[in-house]
Amino acid sequence: MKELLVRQYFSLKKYIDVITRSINDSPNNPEIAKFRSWLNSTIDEINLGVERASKYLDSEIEEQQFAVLSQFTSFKSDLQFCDLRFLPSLFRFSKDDVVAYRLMELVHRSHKQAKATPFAISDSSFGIYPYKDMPPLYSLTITDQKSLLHLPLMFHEFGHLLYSFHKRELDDLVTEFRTELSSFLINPSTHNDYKQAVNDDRVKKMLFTWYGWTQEFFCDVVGLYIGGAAFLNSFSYFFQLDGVEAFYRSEQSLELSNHPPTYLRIKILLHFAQGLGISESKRVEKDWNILERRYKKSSDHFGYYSYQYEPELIKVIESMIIETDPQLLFKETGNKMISSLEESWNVIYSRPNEYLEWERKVLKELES
Amino acid sequence: MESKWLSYQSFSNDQDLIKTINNLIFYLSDRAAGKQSLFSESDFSQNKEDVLEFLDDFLNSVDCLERDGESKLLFNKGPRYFSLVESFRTAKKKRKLKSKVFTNTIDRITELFNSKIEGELEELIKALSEFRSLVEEHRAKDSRSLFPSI
Repeated sequence: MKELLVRQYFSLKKYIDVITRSINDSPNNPEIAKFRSWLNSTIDEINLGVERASKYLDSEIEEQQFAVLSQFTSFKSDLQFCDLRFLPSLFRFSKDDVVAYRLMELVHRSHKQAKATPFAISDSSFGIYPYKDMPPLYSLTITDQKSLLHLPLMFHEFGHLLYSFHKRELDDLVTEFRTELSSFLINPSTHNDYKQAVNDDRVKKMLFTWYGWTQEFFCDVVGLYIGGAAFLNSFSYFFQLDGVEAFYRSEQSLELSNHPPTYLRIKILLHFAQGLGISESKRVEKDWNILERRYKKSSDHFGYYSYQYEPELIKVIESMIIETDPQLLFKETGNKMISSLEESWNVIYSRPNEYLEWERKVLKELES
Repeated sequence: MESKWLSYQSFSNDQDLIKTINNLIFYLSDRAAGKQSLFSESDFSQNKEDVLEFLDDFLNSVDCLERDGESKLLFNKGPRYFSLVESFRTAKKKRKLKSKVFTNTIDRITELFNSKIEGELEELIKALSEFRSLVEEHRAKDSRSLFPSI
């Protein structure tokens, strides 16, 4: 055992050395400096943990030898995680990221808990990994990094980070809401054990599904509170060509799904947008009415959604918003990036044929 | 929310727990052998507090599962935590967990950390070690989805 542990100790030390050198060789732009320095200190901490466990390499006590083995296994996983998840974000950094990084830096800076939280961006569809005690990793596609139109969707992803900061309180609110929901879903006894069991199983699945759905609805509203009309336009535009899926999904596809049907998300967003006095909500509503006439087959969501749930859903989202207090970014005047995000929608609606050229020029200015 | 993120959350919680248990094993084994530990008293107190806080909630969850069935626990704590509770219950039933330490109340387990009675510290180390193996098995399920194998 001892020999094996000593070999693995040197293997871990080598792994740490290679990662440290890789971090030092990566681009060192100001936008990524905070994240880079966090990664460096995380590797230092892992190194410290390995060193501490290695003090027991000579122990004759079997339980301590097993504990060393277990610690080394855990630290190796930590290193793998940094290697697979975080290091690529440092190396992929390019000038195309600058606008997205600066935008999210503004969002982080305007929120108390996120202020000091470093973050990174990776290439994939819109998303976030809001890691516990680690910098969140936002993802957006390479093409979306090169355009202004969809950048406000990052505010929805920031909502997931806010959720993670307030997880305990928000989970309690969601549990309360799902308890309310269950009163709509649970039928009185059917006096048929088989039917009752099938129904119980469906209800359980619906309530599980709603754990994720409530969070998605909440994140949409966070996006709206941060990005105002630019977020609403962006969200609506992004999903308009999703076809029938935006309105209607099979029961199988709803079951334990991560996201509610888009049309329902638009409905809830419009409710809050109207409350916030966002005038663009009329245009968005009109667009979705046109799509609804074309696609909507029925209003049946197999019990997963009903207009009856809406008052409770709106109530829980309102409480979640109060708890997390998202800050409107667009009140910042004189910021070129923010005004460009707002302006992009004016250009696309009033002069769509000029948009590409306009955007190219603005992006060049913003990247400088 | 992607399922991978949920796997990560669960993986990360398991990682923290395993490391804390190991630190306790290092410390308690030194003490049981009558040696000065390389870990400070304050590190030990912090690790002990963290593990006891976890165990308090965990052992209550085991009771909840046995008393109320799976629905309530699944609903309140989510599927990954539920699966750890269930694997603990199964291991207990199949006598894979030989130590009886975790059948005690949390107050009694707390006392064991400072016990001067011969054999009790060793029994606690054994229980922590068995529990760590269970958490390691649980972590392995999440590791598979986070770190693809070759």
